[in-house]
Formats: sequence, C-alpha cells, structure tokens
Amino acid sequence: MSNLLTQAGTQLSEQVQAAKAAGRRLIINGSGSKRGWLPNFGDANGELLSTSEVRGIVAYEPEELVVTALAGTPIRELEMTLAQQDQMLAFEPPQFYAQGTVGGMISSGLSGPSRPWFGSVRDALLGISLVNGAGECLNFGGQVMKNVAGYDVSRLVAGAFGALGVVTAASLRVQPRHQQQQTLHLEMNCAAAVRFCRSLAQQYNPVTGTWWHDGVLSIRLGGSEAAVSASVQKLGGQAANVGTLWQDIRDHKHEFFKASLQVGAHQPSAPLKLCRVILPPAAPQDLPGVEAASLAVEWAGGLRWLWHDEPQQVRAWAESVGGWVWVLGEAASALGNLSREHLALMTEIKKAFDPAHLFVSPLNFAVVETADEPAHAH
Amino acid sequence: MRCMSSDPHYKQVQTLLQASLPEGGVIADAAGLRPYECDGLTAIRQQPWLVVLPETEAQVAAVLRICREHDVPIVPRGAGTGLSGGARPHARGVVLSLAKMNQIIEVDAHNCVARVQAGVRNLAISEAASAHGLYYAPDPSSQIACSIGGNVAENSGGVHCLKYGLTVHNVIGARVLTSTGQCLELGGKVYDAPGLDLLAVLCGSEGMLGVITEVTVTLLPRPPAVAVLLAAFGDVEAGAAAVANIIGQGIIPAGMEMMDKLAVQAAEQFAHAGYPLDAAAILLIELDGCDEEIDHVCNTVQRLLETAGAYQVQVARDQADQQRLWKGRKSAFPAVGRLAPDYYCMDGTIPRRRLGEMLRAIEELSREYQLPVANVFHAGDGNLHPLILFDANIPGQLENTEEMGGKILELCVAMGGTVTGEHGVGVEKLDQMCVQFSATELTQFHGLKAAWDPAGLLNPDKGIPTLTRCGELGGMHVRQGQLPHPDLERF
Ligand SMILES: Cc1cc2nc3c(=O)[nH]c(=O)nc-3n(C[C@H](O)[C@H](O)[C@H](O)COP(=O)(O)OP(=O)(O)OC[C@H]3O[C@@H](n4cnc5c(N)ncnc54)[C@H](O)[C@@H]3O)c2cc1C
Repeated sequence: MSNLLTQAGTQLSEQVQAAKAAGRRLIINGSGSKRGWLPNFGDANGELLSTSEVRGIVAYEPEELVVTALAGTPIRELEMTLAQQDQMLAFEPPQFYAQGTVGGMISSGLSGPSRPWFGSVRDALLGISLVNGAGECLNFGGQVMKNVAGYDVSRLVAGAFGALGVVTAASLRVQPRHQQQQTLHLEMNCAAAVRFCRSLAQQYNPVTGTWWHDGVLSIRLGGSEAAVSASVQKLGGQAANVGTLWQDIRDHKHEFFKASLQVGAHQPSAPLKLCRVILPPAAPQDLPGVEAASLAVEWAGGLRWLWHDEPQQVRAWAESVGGWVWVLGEAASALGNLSREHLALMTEIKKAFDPAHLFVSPLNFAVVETADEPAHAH
Repeated sequence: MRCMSSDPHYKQVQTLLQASLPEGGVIADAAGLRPYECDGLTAIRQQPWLVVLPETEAQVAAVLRICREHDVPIVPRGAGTGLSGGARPHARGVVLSLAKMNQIIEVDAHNCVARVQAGVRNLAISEAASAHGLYYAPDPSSQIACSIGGNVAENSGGVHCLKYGLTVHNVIGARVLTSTGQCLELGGKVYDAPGLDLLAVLCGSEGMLGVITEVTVTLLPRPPAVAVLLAAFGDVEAGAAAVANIIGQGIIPAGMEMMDKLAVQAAEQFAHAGYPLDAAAILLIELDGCDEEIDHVCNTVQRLLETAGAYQVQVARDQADQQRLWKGRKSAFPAVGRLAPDYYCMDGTIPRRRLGEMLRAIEELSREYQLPVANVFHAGDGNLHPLILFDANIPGQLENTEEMGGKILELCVAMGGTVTGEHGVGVEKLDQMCVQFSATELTQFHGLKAAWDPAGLLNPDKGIPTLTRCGELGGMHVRQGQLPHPDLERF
C-alpha cells in the first residue's frame, strides 16, 4: 500500500526535478475543474504538471475515521468509497464540472454548504505528502487525529493553490453520514433570514446548511431521526423534497450561478461579476442597490454571493464590516485584503518551500515586492 | 547570572526594557525569577536572565523591538502549564509572560465568537460566554489555569476534542507580533481567510514563529442533553474493541476516555468517583445531543459496551453524577502523582486499532525498566498518556525513565503514529523528532521558521532539532544497535 505512495512521490518528484534542471516553471493541475475561478494567473510560460495519473486510495480504515488518497483521485471516486461504509467528507468539497481531484480539493481549500458546522478542508486534513520546489518528497502530519509534532505544514498547504509544492497524497478525517436529512423552506426577506440563521446558530440543533435566495430560506437538517424530526417540529416551515439543491449550490449548478440569467434581469453598466463575499455571519446585508435576485446567502450568513457590475463597491462594503471579497475570474482578488506585511511573510514562506519559484500559482504574493519600496521594513 | 548583570550591554537592555514597561514589569531578582525556571515539565529547569510582564500589545511590541535590536532571545510564556518544556527559559534571554494580558475583549454572541487577550484562561472564556448559552469547546484538563495563547501555541486538545476538534478547529482569528516587528491580524470573525493559512500554522508553533497577543475563538451552543456512561472491562483489549464498535456504528461521542487498573485505583482513592476497583480498564463515554435523541443513543452505546464484554455499565443522567464520574478522570494526573515521588507523562498517538499491541509493549518495558506505568488515554483518537512512576532522588531513575519514555514514543512512530498528540515537542521530545522526520523534512521546518523569524530569536532550540543533533543521536543509536526505523513510512 505504501508502495503506491512512494511511486507517486517518485514520479512527481522526477518531473519537478526535470523542470528545475531545464529552468522550466510549472503550473500544477489536477483536472482543471477550478479554472472558472482562476483563469488568467501568473505568466503563461508555465508548463502544466498534471497529477491526474497519480490516483487511487492508499489506505482506508473506517473505524479509525481516516482515509489516505493519492492526489489525482477523483473526489467522486473517494466519496463513493466512503459512502459504501456510510461515511463522508464532512466539508462537502465542490466538484465543478464533476471532476475535481483530491489534490485540487486540498490546494483550493474550498468547502461546501456545511462549512460553518463541519469545518473546511484544512480542518479535516491530517497529513500530506508533498514535493517541494527542490523536488524533495516530504511527509507532514500523518494518519492520526492528534499530532502536534513539528509545524502544521499540511494545513498550511491547504488553500495554497500549489504555491508551496505538489501534493502527492493526503490523509483526511472522515465522518459518519447522517442517518436522516431534511430540508425546510421558510419565506422571508434577506435581513430576516440572516437574523433567523444567527438565532439558529446560538441554539443547539442539527442544522447542516442554509441557503437564502429570492425570498426563501432553505434550512438543511441532518442527524439522527429523532433529532431531525424534533427540529422540523420546532422550526415549522415546509418540509420539501429538494432533489439535488445542496449539490447544485455546492457545485455552482444552481440557476443563481448562471450569468446569462442574471444579465437578462438587469441593465448592467458593465459585465456582472460574481463576488464571493466572506463576512462576519451576523453582518447586515446593507450594501445599497442590490436586488434580491442578484444575491444569495450561505453559511448562516457567513458567505454571500453577489452578482455586481462594480466589484470595487462590494469590496469596500465587505472590508468595512470585517470581511473580504473574491471576485470569481480575477485571480488577484483571491488574496482579498491582505496587507503588505501579510504578503511579505507569505512570500518568505513561499521561498522556503520553493526558492527558485518553480511553481506558478494564482496566489502570487510576490506582487508587492516589485511595487515601489520593499515590503519588509526593518 | 552575576556576570550578565554587570555586563554593560545587558545593563543597557534591562534599562530600556524597564523604561518601556510599567512599574514591576521587569523581574530580575533571583527570588522573583524562581517561579519561571520551568513549566509543567518540572524536571527541566533554567533560570532566565529576565522576566518581562507587558500589559498591552504596544508593550509587547516594544519588548520585541528592544530584543531584536540587541539580539536577545525571547521565550513566550502563558500560564506555564505546558508539559514539554516549551516555556523553559533561555539563560541569556527574557521570558515574555502574557499573564497580565488577561482581558476578555468581547463576547459577540451574534457571530458566536469571543475576542480575548492571549493571557486569558481557557475556562474563563466559557464562563464569560455562558450567559448566552455558549461555550468554548476545547477543554484541556489544565483549563482552570492554562492560557488561550498557550493553547494556540500548543494546539491543545481536551476530552471533548474527538467530536469538537482541537484548538486549531476552534480558533478563527489571532493577532500576532513577529520578531521582525510586524503586527499581523490573522483571520477574524470570518470562516475563511485569503492567502496562505498562517493561522493554521501558528497553531502548534510553540512560541517559535510569533507572539500571540489576541485570539478570536468560536463559541458553540451548549447541548441540551448529556449522558455519561462508565463501563468496566476485565481486559483492556475488550475496552478498545468497544471503542471501535461505537465509532463503527456511526456514533461520535463527545468524549471517550480510557484508564487502566493502576490509573483507576489512583483516581478512585483521590476523587472517590465510584470507579470499580477490580476493573482492568474503564471507559468513560460522554454522549450529547438533543433531548429527543439522547435515550436512543444511550441505549445503543450501552448495548455495544455490553456486547464488547463490559461487565458493568453505569449511566449518569444528572449533572452531579456526571461531574463525579469526570472528576476521577480529570484529576488522574495528580492522583497518579500521589503513588510515587515523581511521574513522567508521555503523549504519543497511535492508530487506535494498535492499542492492545501498544499496551503489551508498555507492560514489557515497565518490567524491563522496573518502573510502574499507569495509562490514561483519549481512547477515541488514540492519544495515549502513559504515566511512568519514578523517584528522581534515586540516582539514575530519571535517566531510566526518560530512556523508557523515549522508547514508547519511538514505538508510536513505528506503529504509524506520532511522538506528540497534544503536549508539544518543546525541549522534551527533540530526540524523538529525529526518529519521526527525515533530514529534508526537518530542513523544511527550519526554512519555515526562518521565514517568520530570520534572526532565530523566538524560543530558540525548541521544537525542531538541528540536523547535527540528529546526526549525533543517529550515531549513538546505531552504536547501540537500535536505530529505530529511519526511513519509516508515516502514511
Ligand atoms: C495537570 C495538567 C493537565 C493537562 N492537560 C492537558 C490536556 O488535557 N490537553 C492538552 O492539550 N494539554 C494539557 N496540558 C498541557 C498544557 O496545559 C497545555 O499545553 C496548555 O495549552 C499550555 O498553556 P500555558 O498557557 O500554560 O502555556 P505555557 O506552558 O506557558 O507555554 C506553552 C508553549 O506555548 C508558548 N506560548 C505560550 N503563550 C504564548 C503566546 N501568547 N504566544 C506565543 N507563544 C506562546 C510557550 O513559549 C511554550 O512553548 C496539561 C497540563 C497539566 C499541568
């Protein structure tokens, strides 16, 4: 079993070393499923390094709640294996175009509707195998749930978009699947929905997802039969058969995410951009001039999706209440509102893993260094 | 020390520190320094040059600036309850205590978070949040004393972390000062932060990357229904099988702790918790949820325990009984401490399925070294705390104990686990780090450290061993014919 892992490491490390020797830069690619989020990053000179060949589940111990998979394993394949044991990845990784890989899932750090209740990718991550910019195969963390030996490099690599190295394999904590799942619909406006979600968050209940759009708040409940039916009684509203609603939200297949429908409803002055707005969840939705149809709220208020023709306005509003905005399709915005100090430190960390800047990543912290004065002031 | 106080360079630094801190903010006299000589790992002591006690973030920044300009090492310290010597002083350095930064800045119930200064005690957060029906989940047994800054620096766990996670899962923001003079705000009241996850790597960084001045923690609503079960087993492996069966049924208890016979007997004498003294092992299981589900879950777990061979199961439904059952477990360390003049607490983690094997190995080592061991585990997540009993006054016993402890940790690595689950490496487990990590991995750690702290002033010589140290050790181990699995797979 660990043979698979060693082979995968060797294979990718040879590719990295070859590129290094030839002075070529690399863009790490799983299946390319996140391309809509980050289309035009870095310089176009990078060569694609695909991990899609390196696939398979290396170890799975349902009773230990741990699975180890190679980077190119499709998320769908992993989830099917877990489902056979009534287990799941609790952070609901998005599967854009239904073909995401484990490596991409870790590097992007994106999680689905259950994020506030079950954590993100990094929360489930227990260990990784990584090839750094020197082509060295490194292992951090492991397969046990509690492990504080050395710096937590695994979690640092989650969400790093390939800036620090090539993930060759990862160990993840899994969770039992919910016995019962039920969605309720309640009609209310956005402000009321945010308030309602916050009051839910302050009480013990089996909520596992919320979605507000177009005057309807959908609440997903998950857990034991007794807990879910008691909660349905308490919350009232209308129990609904919602089909694939939650997957559609997760994978951006929901109608709301279709730009063409949005443009039809507006007369925008510029092309509408989809803004992923991360806010303190209780922040009121008080950006003026936003129509209900252009707005959706997830994560009990903590994530707002907004179609807007002036992302700058959205950004100013979000930052004024302690949040940040990622404008989909604009790679630079993935760095949100980070200060020069943050970027300088991230640049130093990148250098520690990839001194020759072999890996081209959409997270380009070095941007600040070339601008006016150096960011590090001593 | 005497020579340092007369050295004009040190004199100058001391004057600068005194000028930047309030009255009494610098401790330099031997009696005043004594309490800072060690943390919870009392076997390792070192008198610091100075202790500084800033009261504001600006004062922390001033201390860091002065130390940077004068090349003085800094050892951050919270409450000093750490068990791996992480806060052990540096002979030529200052201990930077965060103890006076103990204000709860804000409990924001709408966002379910609290913002607190680094020196705030773990338990004080839950106390402050309780008016809103909320609490901070990670609950190390030291929670009445340990600080949240120390918890972040160690990524501490507690008996409830099987279900609710470690510190890293329950902290969403922090303010940190680096040795280069940067003040970084990491995360906030938001679920995801942009860029590299600096907050994640700060968790468990043992004071080596930055000084944490403020922490934003997430708060959870208290579960309305709680049940605590105590199950007694005639042998430890039956207890371990019960744990696997419960998790195999898709039940994640809020806590699941195991104690072996010696630990049970010590705890019972100390806390009078009503533990069965004849048991080879007991399991303590806490279940929580809503009122409507708790009976059902409780019955299922009771049946699983009996099927696995429990000869007695007690179910505590009211709070007083539950507290009584937990009291024995929570006081297990001091209780075991009464059995011998000294005890040494280990902290390895293994995949749970290897528990029986591990216990047999520990038993053998205990016989070989003639040192009794009491075992306390976080059974749900495979984190073991073997407590080795010894008497430091008997020449050679401390060394024997350390050697035996080292072997237990190396076994943890060999079984696919780790040398530390929650107490950290500190100065204590540096040698075992050489067993767990390769030279390239250790070099990568040093590179990450240098990115944060290029001058190497923050908590030097802790956490990550130098390659030289490992090289010398490797040589030694080879000579004794026991080089433990140098190229072991850890996946
Ligand atoms: C009886 C007992 C029971 C325990 N039970 C548990 C348990 O159940 N689970 C568990 O995980 N641990 C446990 N511990 C260990 C200990 O309590 C934890 O590690 C705790 O988090 C340490 O907090 P502290 O404030 O005492 O930190 P200290 O001991 O003062 O410091 C610990 C480390 O953190 C660094 N540090 C402290 N504050 C800061 C800061 N503000 N910024 C940067 N670095 C900082 C120090 O340099 C040091 O390396 C126990 C200890 C005892 C004595």
